[in-house]
Formats: sequence, structure tokens, C-alpha cells
Amino acid sequence: MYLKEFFLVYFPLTLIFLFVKDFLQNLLLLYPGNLFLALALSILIFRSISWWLYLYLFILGWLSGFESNLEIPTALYFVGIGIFSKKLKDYLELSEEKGRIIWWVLNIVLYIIFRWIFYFYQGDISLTWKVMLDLFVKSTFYFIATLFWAVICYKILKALLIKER
Amino acid sequence: MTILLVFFISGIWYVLNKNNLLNEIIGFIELPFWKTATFSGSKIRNFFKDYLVLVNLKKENERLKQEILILKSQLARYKERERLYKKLENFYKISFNLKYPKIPARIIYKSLDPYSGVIFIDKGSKNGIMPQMPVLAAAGGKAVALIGQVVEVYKNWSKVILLTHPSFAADVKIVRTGDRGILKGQAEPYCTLQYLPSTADLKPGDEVITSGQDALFPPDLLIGKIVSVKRDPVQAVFKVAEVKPLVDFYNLDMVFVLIKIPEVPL
Repeated sequence: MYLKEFFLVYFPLTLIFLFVKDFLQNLLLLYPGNLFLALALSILIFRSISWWLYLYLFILGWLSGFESNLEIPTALYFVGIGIFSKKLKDYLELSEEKGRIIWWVLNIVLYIIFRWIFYFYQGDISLTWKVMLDLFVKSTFYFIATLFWAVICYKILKALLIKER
Repeated sequence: MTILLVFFISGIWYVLNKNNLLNEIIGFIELPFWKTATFSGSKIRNFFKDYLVLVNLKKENERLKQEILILKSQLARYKERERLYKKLENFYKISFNLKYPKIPARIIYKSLDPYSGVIFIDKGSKNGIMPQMPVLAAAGGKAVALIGQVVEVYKNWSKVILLTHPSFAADVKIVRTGDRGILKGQAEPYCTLQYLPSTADLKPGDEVITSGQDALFPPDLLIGKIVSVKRDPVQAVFKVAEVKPLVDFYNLDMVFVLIKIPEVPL
């Protein structure tokens, strides 16, 4: 990722995603999944890690944690994904669909666990069966919706970036 | 170096404004998007919601209209039944003195010509109807009047000739004077009363009833009122009168067949 790409492709894309997320949320009255995580996970498949990408991941993380008042931890987590990806990218078969799905699933699950940690840390929550069931249902929905968006993002970016080349 | 500068500026901003610089920037950029997304999302959702409500209202309206139609038809049926029930009740009340059993019957066919003189009723041999049985109706809701006679009987229906039919004839008498005569139909609104004695003192308005002498009709059944009297132009020893039937045949829809087996004179 470089400066021109950052401002001409990813910045407008982020704004579009911001709009889509808020729009869907208001339209469906449902949490539409984490679009920024999906975007980050898709971009990491295409682009080599650079400072611009770290900055972009930081911004995406910030936006992702914006609503839950966890801006800094989430932003750092997103940067952590970038580092994690840089270290493991060569070992992952991301050009294959199976490899990509595993990569997305693993990251989304880790992110959900990350959110759980903060959820339990921040609030005084009693772990009743009802609460756990509710948490499980919400997390499952979160997982499916985010995975769906990751696939969509990948398809959009692939079309955009291959055309650009 | 740049990162350090950013942190430094953010720190100063935080000290001065007690909020986050990055959130301030994001908020500034995002604000129009939030507003637009929230507004358009809510509007579209409300539009679909309203649309669905309207669709449901339309369906509900259609359903209610159907229900109203069904209820209206039911109401009409109940009103008709109530009317018939009242007619029956009234008829049985006023025909209490008649010792013969009566079978109510609905008119199933009546010629468009109100004075055709023939009607079909929905009771036949299955119900015990026999030819020559008298057919009655309530006259004005106050009295029982003779309106005709059964002529042909089938299993489920019968043919009745009215007083006005040319084939109809009955032995009658005048209530006021007791004079007897033969009432005959003539395919006209009024019947003819023949063979009245020339000495009979008849006036328009005199009531005509059955005499019971013909062995067909029981005595004292109302028939009609005399409209005019004159001397018989053919046989001068008799008088002839025009009789207006008491019952309005045109508006008739229910009759009663009197179960009276004709008495055949030996």
C-alpha cells in the first residue's frame, strides 16, 4: 500500500463502509457485523505490509472500537493482526480459497475472544446460562455476518485491484 | 518521529480539551455520513414498514368488506326468516278456528303477469298435498282468506289455480244477507259472482265467504268484497256481482294448504 492508494482507494472505501454499516444498522435494526475487520482481513490478503497499511489498520481498528469505547485496544489489536499476518503470511496458503477461509475464521474467532475478554473485564457480569446463551447467539451472528462481509470485501477488492493493475 | 509528534499533539489536545483528537477528527469526517446513513436508513425502513402496514390494511379492508357482505347476506336471511316466522305465527293465530291441519308452502313460481291465475308451490305429494285442496293466505294479517285450489300435485311441488283463474269455482255466500252464489274466475283482477237471486239486496263492500256447500271448501273462509252488482244480462232471474279478492296476489309469497280431503258426495 502506498500514499496514492491510501487516499484514492482505501480512504473512500472506508467512508463507503462507514455509510453502509450505519445505513444497514438503521435499516435492519440489526448489527450488520464488523465491516472494518472484514475490510482489514481482505486487504491483508492482497497487500504487503507497509507503514501505510499499519496506519490504515490502526484507523480501521480505531473505527471498529469507536462505538464500544475501545478505540486504542482495538486499533492496537488491528495493528497486531498486521504484524501477525506479516510473520505468518508466507506459511498460509492465502491464494487458495480454503486457506483464506481458515485465515478469516481464525481471525474473527480471535477477535471475538478479544472482545469477550474486554466484555467480561469491563462489566460486572454474572455468568448465568441465560447470559452465556445470549452471548453465544450474538457471537455466532457476529461471526457469520463478519465472515460474509469478508467474502464480499475480498470479491470487491479483487475486482477493483485487478482492474487497476 | 511522526508517531511521536502525533502522540505529543494528541496529548496537548487532551490536556486542553479533555477529549481525544483522533475521535474529534473522525467525528468531523464521519458526521455527514452518520447523519445521511441514519436518516436514509430510518426513512427507508419506515417507508417499508408503512408500506407493509398499508398492504396489511388493504388486506384487512378487503377481509372486512368480505365479512360485511357475508354478514349482510346473513342478516338478510335472518330478516327473511323472521318475516316468514311472523307470517306463520300470525297465520296460525288467525286460523285457530279452522279445524283442518295446514301446511305452509312457499310460492316457487309466479307468472310475471300478476293476474295469470296460476302459481306453483314448493310442497307436493311428499308433503301430503292432494288435488282440490284449498289454498289460503293471510289477508292483511288479520284474517284468513281463500286464494285458490290445488289442481295438480307432483312429488315436490304443486300447481295452484287462484280465484281469478277461469277454471276456479266455489259455492259462496254473502255475510250480511246470507245469499248464495257461485264465484268464478275470469282471468281478470276481479272474480264474478253468479247465480245470485234477483231479490238479493247486495251492496258494494259486502263480504263474500265460502258456504261449505260444495264439499270442496270449508265454510266461512273469507274470499273478497263485492265491488259492483247488476242484473245478469243473459238470465234476468239472477243477479251478477264483481268480487275483489281480499288477498293481493301480486305480493304473495307464502300460502297455506288446508289438508282437507274433498268430500265426494255419494
